[in-house]
Amino acid sequence: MKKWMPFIITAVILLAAPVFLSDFRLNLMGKYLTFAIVALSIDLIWGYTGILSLGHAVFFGLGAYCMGAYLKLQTEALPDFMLWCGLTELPWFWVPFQYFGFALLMAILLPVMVAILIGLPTFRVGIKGVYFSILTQALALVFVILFIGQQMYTGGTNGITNLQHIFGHSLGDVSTMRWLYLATVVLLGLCYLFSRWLVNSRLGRILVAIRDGENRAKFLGYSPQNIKLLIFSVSAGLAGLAGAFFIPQVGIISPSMLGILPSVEIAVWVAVGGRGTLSGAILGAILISAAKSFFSEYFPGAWLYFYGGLFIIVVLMFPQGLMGFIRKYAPRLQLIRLWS
Amino acid sequence: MTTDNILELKEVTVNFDGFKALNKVNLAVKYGELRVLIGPNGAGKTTIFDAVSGKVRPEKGEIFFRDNNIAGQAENKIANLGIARKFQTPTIFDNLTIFENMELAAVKNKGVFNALCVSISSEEIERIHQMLETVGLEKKYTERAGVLAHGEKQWLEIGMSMVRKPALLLVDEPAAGMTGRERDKTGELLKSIARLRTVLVVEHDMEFIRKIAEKVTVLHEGSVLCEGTMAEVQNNPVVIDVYLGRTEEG
Repeated sequence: MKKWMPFIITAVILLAAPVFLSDFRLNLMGKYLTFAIVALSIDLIWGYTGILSLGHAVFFGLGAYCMGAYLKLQTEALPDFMLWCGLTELPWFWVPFQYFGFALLMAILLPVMVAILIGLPTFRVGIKGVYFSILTQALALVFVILFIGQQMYTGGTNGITNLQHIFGHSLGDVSTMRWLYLATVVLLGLCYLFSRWLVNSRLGRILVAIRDGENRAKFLGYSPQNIKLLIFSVSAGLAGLAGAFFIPQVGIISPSMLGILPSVEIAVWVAVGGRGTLSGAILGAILISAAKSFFSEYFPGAWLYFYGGLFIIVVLMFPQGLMGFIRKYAPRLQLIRLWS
Repeated sequence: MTTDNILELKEVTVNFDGFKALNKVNLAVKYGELRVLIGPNGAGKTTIFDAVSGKVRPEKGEIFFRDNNIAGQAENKIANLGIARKFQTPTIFDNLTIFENMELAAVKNKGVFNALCVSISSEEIERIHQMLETVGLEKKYTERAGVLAHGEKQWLEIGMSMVRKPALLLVDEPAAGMTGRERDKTGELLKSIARLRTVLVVEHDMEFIRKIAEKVTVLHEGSVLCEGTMAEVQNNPVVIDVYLGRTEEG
């Protein structure tokens, strides 16, 4: 029971947030929580398995685009950007996105398929370390170019915008925003429990084993390539799911959100929060995103410097992230120890 | 083919970009043997291990393990056939506990589904504790493996190899970097293992080999030079010339 206390307390605080946060802040918080899910997903592949993916925004973005397609079709029978490009009817692959279930399914499956497509050949020939990171970064660049280039199908540089309704409710309504927020809290809880189950199972220990000594794991009879592929796919699916919950709360998805910069940002959240700890990933995503909002509101001219400085300080002073710091320096404080 | 050989290399050639690390090596190891491979640096001792365990693919030749040709198969497949390998430097998982290290080794089914949904059986837990007793780490089983001393890490790795009940154990320089007492204990450990399994050892330390070896194979420049008991090998003039003589000079 005791080990569940941090989870329960966090859940209560997040669920009660609509009471004490303004609508504007609540909406921002909902956005951060979807980031926390992406952070969890990259923690599984990077923190636990030691494979740094610098293209995770692609998976997040694909999920967001899938849900964006659904939301767009809720608003217009033929999306405006298609009209501008001279299309007179909906392309065949857009048609099924008018169903919410299909859109949600694709938000998970599409990233998983891309992950398998990338992971299968790379893990088989043993590409790892920085080479894998560069490869995934190239993936991010490729997807940005692809989505900008296919304007008539993707909305080009502008992306999918001007979203109005979900399930017949206006996205601008406070009540819609609130239940979207609560749905995101529940989703984050489920994703956390799922990740926790994963890393506490023997598979979690195999992941750490692959991170610490891939050859040893092979000679013990494990197949690192299969296990890496599985965890990369799972991670991509989680990121896609996060994207699907991101877009109704933000109302826009554009190619700039699936490029290299946001991909690196995702890795930064986890580096700051603490690699290889699930709570660290969540904490990092929320704190860094909140800091970004805070600095950009109060120091519009200089916020990027604060943001960069914060990152440098954390990485220099606490190489294991905030969670690593807490675990190392506060072992006697029962309360803090519980939370880590 | 004779069936009393657990491992048989036939005309095995390993080619690294034109350099023949192994050149038509023939080697037969019987069930239950404790065989030591010796030879100067670059003789191909570790390459034989690499070829048998699947780390390198032989260019030519066949490797029979219990009468199956395993040449060129993947490492994890060969491992699951019953060949365990202990590396020269201790390669254990520092961030897992000693018990968890053993657990990953002991579990028979290495599949992903099994790893997610089936916990370790009580029979396996029992076996792990027995093995930890044998290698002398039973008292420390909840500690992180990273905190162990060098010798203890080597024993843990031997334990991890043994808990899988392999038919054949490959051990690469077990005594390297050990203190005298650790070395004696390692020798005893290997001898006790060889009562139940076949053990193939690569070693440089002559004192250590004299203590444990029944039969020695001398390698030189990728080929087998001669085979025999330690006494026979030591008195072989060719061996003295290429190897033993050289170590005494050095």
